[in-house]
Amino acid sequence: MNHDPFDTLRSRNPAPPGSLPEAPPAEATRITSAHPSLRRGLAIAAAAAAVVLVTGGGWLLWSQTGGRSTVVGPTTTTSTTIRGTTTMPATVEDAPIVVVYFLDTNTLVPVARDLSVLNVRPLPDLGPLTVELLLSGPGAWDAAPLPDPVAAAEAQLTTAIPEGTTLLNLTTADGIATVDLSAAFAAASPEALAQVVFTLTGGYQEADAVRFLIEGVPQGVTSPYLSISQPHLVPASASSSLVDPVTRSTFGYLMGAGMVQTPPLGGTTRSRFLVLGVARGSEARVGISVRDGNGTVLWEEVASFAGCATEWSACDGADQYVNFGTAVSAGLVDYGRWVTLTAYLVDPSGLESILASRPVWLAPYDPATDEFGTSGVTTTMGETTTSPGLGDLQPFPADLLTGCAAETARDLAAFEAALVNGPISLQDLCAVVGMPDYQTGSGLFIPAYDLADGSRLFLGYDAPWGAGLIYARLVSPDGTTRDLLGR
Amino acid sequence: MTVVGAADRPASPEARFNALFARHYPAVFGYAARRVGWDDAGDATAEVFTVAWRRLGRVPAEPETLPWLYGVARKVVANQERAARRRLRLEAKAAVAPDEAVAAPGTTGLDVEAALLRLGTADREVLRLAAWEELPPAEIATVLGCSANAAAVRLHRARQRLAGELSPETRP
Repeated sequence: MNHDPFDTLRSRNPAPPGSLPEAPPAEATRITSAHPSLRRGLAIAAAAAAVVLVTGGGWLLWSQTGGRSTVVGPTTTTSTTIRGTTTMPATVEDAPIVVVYFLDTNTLVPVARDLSVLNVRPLPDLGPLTVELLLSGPGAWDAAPLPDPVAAAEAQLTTAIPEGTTLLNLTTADGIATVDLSAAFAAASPEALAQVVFTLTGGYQEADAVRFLIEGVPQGVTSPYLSISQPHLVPASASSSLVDPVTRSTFGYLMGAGMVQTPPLGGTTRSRFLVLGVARGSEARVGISVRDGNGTVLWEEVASFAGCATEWSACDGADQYVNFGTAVSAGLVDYGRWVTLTAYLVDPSGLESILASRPVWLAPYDPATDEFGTSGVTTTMGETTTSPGLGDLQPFPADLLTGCAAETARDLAAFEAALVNGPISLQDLCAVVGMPDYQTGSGLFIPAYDLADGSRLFLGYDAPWGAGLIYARLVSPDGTTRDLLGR
Repeated sequence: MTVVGAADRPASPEARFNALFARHYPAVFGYAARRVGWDDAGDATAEVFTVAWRRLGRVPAEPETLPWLYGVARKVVANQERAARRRLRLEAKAAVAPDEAVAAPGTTGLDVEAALLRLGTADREVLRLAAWEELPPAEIATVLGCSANAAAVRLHRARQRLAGELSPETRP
């Protein structure tokens, strides 16, 4: 008798359905109580998002000298949007920066567009405005002249968006942005599709996925798994095997060896700021350098890797993208100038290749708000009181963590011992040393502990539930700082 | 004493999570057990449901919930490299053990399992999803993040390659 080996395989199920255990009820409770409740996490993420929206380039105006100067922020409080709400943020007045994606020889590059130069209040609806800025291409921001370093950098960039493309409509619901573009976009290349998808998703955008319409007709994207050619738009009615909606993962290959997401090209940073990105391969290391206009290295460090699940992909083995991040520490001098941020990949054999090199504005140092230096990419400017600067520590919410040690450790040795093996989750840390005293945050989620000797420990986490420790900065009473992670 | 979730309404995230946990735990455990072995399956399953809890807002409604969970499990399992390697070693040992009930060449269970291990990881996974999780192509597509057509094509090709591994002409 001739058996189909597939049938034989079917009969060799090592865990047949009848043999499987029932769900252990205690396990569900353990999972839900071991992690902050979803709603709480969202609230924190939204707060972090709000802070990022008002900074990182916001609150700034062009000065006559081509540099930038700070201005008093608007008087309204920060408005925010929470992922999962059903519409794009309507007239977000305090969101004077957006990021659009252009191309550097087929690799995606995030580029900052400072909306505060628009002499219009309230600002137009942010979503359509972002798409318009994307469609207008690199170097084409006519609300204000681009500063020289940015103009020079953007001159190297291209866009794949077909000429003549116009935005007809944009809506966002349930995490999906639906963008209706004119007929010219029907010929969009994979790169053009990726520019739109990356611009409308990820980071602090509401959407995780994009649905394309051409003149109102729904489109799908040919699956990169199936097609020999690269993905492109096809009317949705033409085939049943189309990807719709489209996410960043469809275009992961356009990130090349990696991508620096924060700060974007032309973005604004403070004296201490955060560099975040993704790189391919868990074996690699990423170096970050900051150079002045003469090429002198002001700061250089190897970034730490903070978990392998990116915004658009989960941990799935070899050759995946992993997050990297580092806080560029204080010590740079002569703020208020353009610097060049370079990220380079160092492979296991020591070979270096440049991931990104871009101008960023190093905002003038402000002792009032830069004290202790929370991540400067997101700290607020001096005049506004709507966002938590470091002086704005909030009591740590008692319901955020469970399973913390009842007695809180307040001696440095206990913290050093807890961190001796490197980054630790906030959940694990609080089980050893107890609940933090404060939280602050400005893009990062930053719990803080007061120690017995008068020093204060700030822990910079890249996720609102306390995963991905990026720094553990101890600030002594005399103002000196030290990173307990040895960075 | 405070009972977690006691005051929650039925539609609370906790209640929704508890419902999907109770319903799908056995299947997810089975998925993990078939790939990393029974001993490590509990940990992998807990991790899958931790992801589901954190991303509860993104867990699709029935009937797509289980394929979505399998998709998470696939990544979790891939991350458990150590356990997976151990499992593969065990399978390899089993594959060379003498089979007491010798049937037609190339069609015994152990022959088939050994052939499965010689296939690429993508072929192996699509065959397991079809044979052991008993998923139709549309649900395989959800797990693998591809279209239903792509899943059907992949399964077809994987079955051909499995048969090819066992045919006398191509056997080593």
